[in-house]
Amino acid sequence: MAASAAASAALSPTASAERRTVALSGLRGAMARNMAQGWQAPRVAHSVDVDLSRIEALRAERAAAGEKLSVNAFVIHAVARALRSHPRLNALMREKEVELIGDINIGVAVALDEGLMVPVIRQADTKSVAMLAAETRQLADGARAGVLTGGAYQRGTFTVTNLGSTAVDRFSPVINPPQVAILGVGRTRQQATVRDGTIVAAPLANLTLVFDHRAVDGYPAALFLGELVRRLEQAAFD
Amino acid sequence: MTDIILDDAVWTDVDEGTEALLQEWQVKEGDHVEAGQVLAVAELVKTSQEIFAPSSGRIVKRCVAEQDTFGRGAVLAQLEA
Repeated sequence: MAASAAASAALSPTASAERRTVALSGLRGAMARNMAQGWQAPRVAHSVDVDLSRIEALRAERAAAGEKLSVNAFVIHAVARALRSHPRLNALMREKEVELIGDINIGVAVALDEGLMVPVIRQADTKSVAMLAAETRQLADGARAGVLTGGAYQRGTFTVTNLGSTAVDRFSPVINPPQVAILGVGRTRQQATVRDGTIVAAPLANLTLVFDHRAVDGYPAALFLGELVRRLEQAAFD
Repeated sequence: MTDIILDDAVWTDVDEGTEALLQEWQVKEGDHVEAGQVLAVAELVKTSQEIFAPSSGRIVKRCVAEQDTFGRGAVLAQLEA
């Protein structure tokens, strides 16, 4: 009864007459323009599940020593180093060419009430997981407080966006132009997987790479994603 | 006559050639303004920037329209003491 009364109240002429809008101006406007531009790219999404057992063990080990490292810091670490051998994905779309960028600068998507912000970790391939974790935290806090300078949002060459703190398993993000690729990271959840012929529970997370097919072909993009998985499941982290 | 510009300090770490967007004027031509008053709000690479009156006076001319972009050092308005 109460629920239906509330529902009819919500639909009453008085309530529905209050038209609420969000202006596409300011930061929201900048975000809207970027997204519309990014959506122009002929994009393809490659998706893979990665076993984070090793990363979770490393995180627990470091946490015991008082060091808090996010999954995202490990992902950024792996992405930045994998990009070294896949320069076609670390590139910017220009008028009639694709510019391969020497520096590996990773944009990290941060959700704000006003809109999406993507501050940039410069030369991320030269930084340790601990440094990446600290810088990610500092950039996210700075973006939320509105204290970052304009330059903090520039020169990104690849973006990582992580919805691991939500209920989302997988998603395909929109490319952050003029970049040519973006990685969407879903939540880590215990899932049944087969290891040495036996079904076991393991923390798996989905990685979805969206790329601009004008700049990168499907096969090299698949190789990049494969290297990313290998790094997260097996490679050493400093 | 004083030229009103967006504080040069905010441009120091942005890439060369970056433009700002004039989001909103908070004064009209002919308005009297006080030193330190916010005259306009601009957006520079996802940062919101206020443009202040360097001294008190009258806004003689607005040189950049709302939603137009402008570069480093661009004169946004002229102030007459």
